[in-house]
Amino acid sequence: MTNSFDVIVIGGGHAGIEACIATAKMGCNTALISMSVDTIGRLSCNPSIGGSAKGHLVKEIDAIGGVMPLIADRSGLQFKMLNTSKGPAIWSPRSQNDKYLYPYYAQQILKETKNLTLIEGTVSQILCENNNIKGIVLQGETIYCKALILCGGTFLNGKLYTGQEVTEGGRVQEKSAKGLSDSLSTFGLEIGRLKTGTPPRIYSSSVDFSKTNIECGDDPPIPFSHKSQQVKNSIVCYSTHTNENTHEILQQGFIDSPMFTGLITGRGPRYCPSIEDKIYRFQDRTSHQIVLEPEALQSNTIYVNGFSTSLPKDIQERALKTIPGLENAIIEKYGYAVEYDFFYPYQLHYTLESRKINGLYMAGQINGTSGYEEAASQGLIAGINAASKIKGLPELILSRADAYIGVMIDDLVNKSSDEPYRIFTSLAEYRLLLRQDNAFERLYDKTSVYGLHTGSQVYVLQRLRSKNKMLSEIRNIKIDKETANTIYASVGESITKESEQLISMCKRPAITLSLIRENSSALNQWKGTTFDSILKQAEIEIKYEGYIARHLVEISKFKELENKLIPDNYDFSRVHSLSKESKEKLMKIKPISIGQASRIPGVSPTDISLLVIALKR
Amino acid sequence: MHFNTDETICSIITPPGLSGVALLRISGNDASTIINKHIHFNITEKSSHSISYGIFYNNDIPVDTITLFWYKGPHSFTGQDIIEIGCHGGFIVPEQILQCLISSGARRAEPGEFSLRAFLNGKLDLTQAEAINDIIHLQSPAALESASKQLIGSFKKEIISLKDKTEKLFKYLILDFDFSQENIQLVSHDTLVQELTILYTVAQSFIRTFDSAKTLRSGYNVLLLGHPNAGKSSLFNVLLGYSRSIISPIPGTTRDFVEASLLIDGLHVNLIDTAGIHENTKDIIEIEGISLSMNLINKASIICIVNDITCGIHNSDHLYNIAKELNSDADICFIHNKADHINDEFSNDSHNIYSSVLSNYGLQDILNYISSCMSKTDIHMSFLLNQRQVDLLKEYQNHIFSALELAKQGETTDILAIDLRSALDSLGLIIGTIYNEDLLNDVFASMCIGK
Repeated sequence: MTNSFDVIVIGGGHAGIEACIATAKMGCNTALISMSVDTIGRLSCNPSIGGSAKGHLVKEIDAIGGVMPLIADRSGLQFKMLNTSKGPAIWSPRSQNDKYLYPYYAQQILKETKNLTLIEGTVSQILCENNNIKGIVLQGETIYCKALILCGGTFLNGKLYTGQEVTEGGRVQEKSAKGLSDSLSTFGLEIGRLKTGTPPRIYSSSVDFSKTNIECGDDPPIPFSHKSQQVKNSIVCYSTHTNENTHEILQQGFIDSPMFTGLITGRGPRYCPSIEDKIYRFQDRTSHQIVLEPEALQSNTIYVNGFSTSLPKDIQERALKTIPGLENAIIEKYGYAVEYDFFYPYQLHYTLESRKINGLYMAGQINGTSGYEEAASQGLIAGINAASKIKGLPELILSRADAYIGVMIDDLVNKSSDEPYRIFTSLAEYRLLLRQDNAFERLYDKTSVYGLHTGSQVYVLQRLRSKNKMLSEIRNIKIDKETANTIYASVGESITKESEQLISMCKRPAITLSLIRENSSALNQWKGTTFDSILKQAEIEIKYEGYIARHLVEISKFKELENKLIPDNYDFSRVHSLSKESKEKLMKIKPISIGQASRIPGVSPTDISLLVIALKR
Repeated sequence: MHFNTDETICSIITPPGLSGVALLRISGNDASTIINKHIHFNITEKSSHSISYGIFYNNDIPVDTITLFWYKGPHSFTGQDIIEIGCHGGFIVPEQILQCLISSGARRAEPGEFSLRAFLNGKLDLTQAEAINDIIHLQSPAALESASKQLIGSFKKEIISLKDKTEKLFKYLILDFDFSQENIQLVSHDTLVQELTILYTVAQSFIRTFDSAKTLRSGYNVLLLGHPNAGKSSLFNVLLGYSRSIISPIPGTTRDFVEASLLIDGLHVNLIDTAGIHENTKDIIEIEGISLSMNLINKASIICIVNDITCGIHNSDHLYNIAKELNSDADICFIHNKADHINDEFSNDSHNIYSSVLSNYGLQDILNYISSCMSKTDIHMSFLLNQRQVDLLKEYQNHIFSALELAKQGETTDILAIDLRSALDSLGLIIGTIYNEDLLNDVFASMCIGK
């Protein structure tokens, strides 16, 4: 085996996969090291990709040229657009996935990737010289590299908890990685502990589905990736709910819960809480929704979504059996919590390169995030930036105005939190611009230089041209009074006395372009399902053009502050009369712009004024 | 603006001119060192916030006997060491002391620079700095009361409370769409409409105070309007108590307008004498004067139609109609002048006041009328909004209105949240919780020297 690579990626989870494919495709000789090659690309928690805001990340990965959307489409069992009862900013695609097919297709893509070597083994040490990355030690053997991308997931000093039982491991029945954290902490990186949990899996043969509601996918199902021609729904899910009995039993177990007894010191995610967390926090709610999600076509196991827990086994079992449909449920695998090391992400540049060690990049759960999609998008950004540095290409930094990925990385760097970070639509200020339907328009130009979009150029151009043509032509279309009133009457809108501009019709809440297309000849040239998504996008841009325009004004103000740069290694301690807290925060995070500084919690507008004034001097 | 706070700055902080005493202020790290060069004791040995008597020397030559007010930083207006020097007034002594301070290393302060330093050192926030500026420029005791309340922060408290309420609603809205996957609805449609209506109304009540605030700040405009030679200028002069307008018996003498200030019942009044309105004049200057009168009508709070009663009681009715049409908000009355020339019986009512300048008749009635109109304004407001603040409050109100309309139409929470966020930004700009460079410049640019 060669003992030198351009890039080494440690960890074959969702971050590692994107990172190594990006660097390899960008022409870097890359090695992916995993403790077990067979487990690369596993869905360790729920068999699902996307969801609220996470779906946006997947669409953005598609637009930058990552692989998660494609793997999700190939292994997808059910596809659904969430939040369609809300505004278009928060519509989010989600899929159920086959937990065996997902890693299968992921590994297949890795094997087909040129410049990429898969290595099985455990890294015990990271080598560094004068704050530059040198290489790693893999089972006693030194391998050199120019860049190292660390995607260790939950494996760094991972501990698994079920009730009072504690075992070492990164996932159930998989050992944890020891030594790596120690190796990095000797370089002065600050390390913390976090925890996350997973629910029990049960056998579908033991479930009485007649007591549950069927949850179907969309018809027609829409794929994540523009490269996927077609996807299909091959399963349904089932929803049920907990009740007061369930809650009472779970409460009995609180005394043994590692979280309540203080056994786990790491903080859990606020928004993807364990069932015991939910009961504890929402004490007035007597019921929580549970969704039974089949894990694979070739398996009869069910993922009990909404029932993440680390309570003792007997409590889990007794509580599950109080849920309608699960009275005779047989548990295949008990729920457990995992506690692991993470590196406070304020120690990173926006490129995800370590500020302390040149050439060391970090992505995924070790940066304190939770979720496959959050991990994958970080892996992609880290990979692109590691390869760009080697190849002399510009670095890729996405801002809060560009993408949810930008929002996430900005939050991570500036707001280092003590609990796992999960992306949310509410976190994006310009969410009406950062929609799942326009990811390509937002990101293609910024990322095409990295060459990850093989074959996408024609798609992007055609789609954009087609939409622009549609938007400009629609502005000149008038609908006669009779047709307009027929359409209005069909949805209970008040009628008009004159013919109407199509644009102003479209601005009424209940009117969609496809409704107009069905009931008039006005949009005849865009008949057919191929135009559906473009028609929808045009409709959103018409309906919300006032808000979109406002976002654009806000963004230009935002950019003004982002472009007020703070020089590298600026000495914040010199700034006159800054508050003590601000000074500490600024020295720790070292913002690169006034805009970034203004987003650091604890730095007040007066402090920003002082900083601006100091920079002018 | 000088953002450097290392330099020691000084200024005469009382207005120039003849006065018994004047006050100078010096602020900065070297304030005590500089003062010590000019006195025969060490000011830093005195306890902070004490007053010392002494002699100010220029190269050992006595300049004046002085009192020194010593404030050790950070417990001072600017947060730095401050010394205030009380000396004798006039044109010579204060300027000489100032020159001594400058030659010993201090720099002449720019307008607003003391306040700027107070802001930079966390002693004042933007609204308090604005209030100081207001206090300096105020012209009546009633306005001072409001501005002082703003300085001590009651205005900020009100805005913060409005911001908190808006923020709470905003947070519920965004949590609502974060949790929509789990079918948890946090705010019902009715609650939403109800809450937004409350926010709108509160903002409305703040904005309403602005008109009163504007009048308190700049005074009530009382306009004297009438045909040529109706006696407007004579009335104007008598009301002022001294001769200001050129009075002559030739109609059309007042071709421009003449304005003077007076206090009536503690309120600041701008009394404005206008050119007589004459429908068929050909004199260009007079025509311009007349169109100026028309513009003034718009800006008036109170319009007195001065009618020459010897030409009949209805002689100026069309002027009343013009005034009413141009400014429906103003209080309008007739002053039937030259009442000493008529023999008929007459009596005042709420809109008709009979007067005679020559015999000083009816003047108290006119003052009473003006006073009663002014008393309709709430002069004891808890704060005094300025233009910048009211513009932002209106912006806030527009965003809330838009959210309210959308909520009524059943628009989804994610769209409403956009309006609420913009609304919150507007409030943040008022109280300075959002960084805005222009604002920083604006607030201090309009300050006067010595503050």
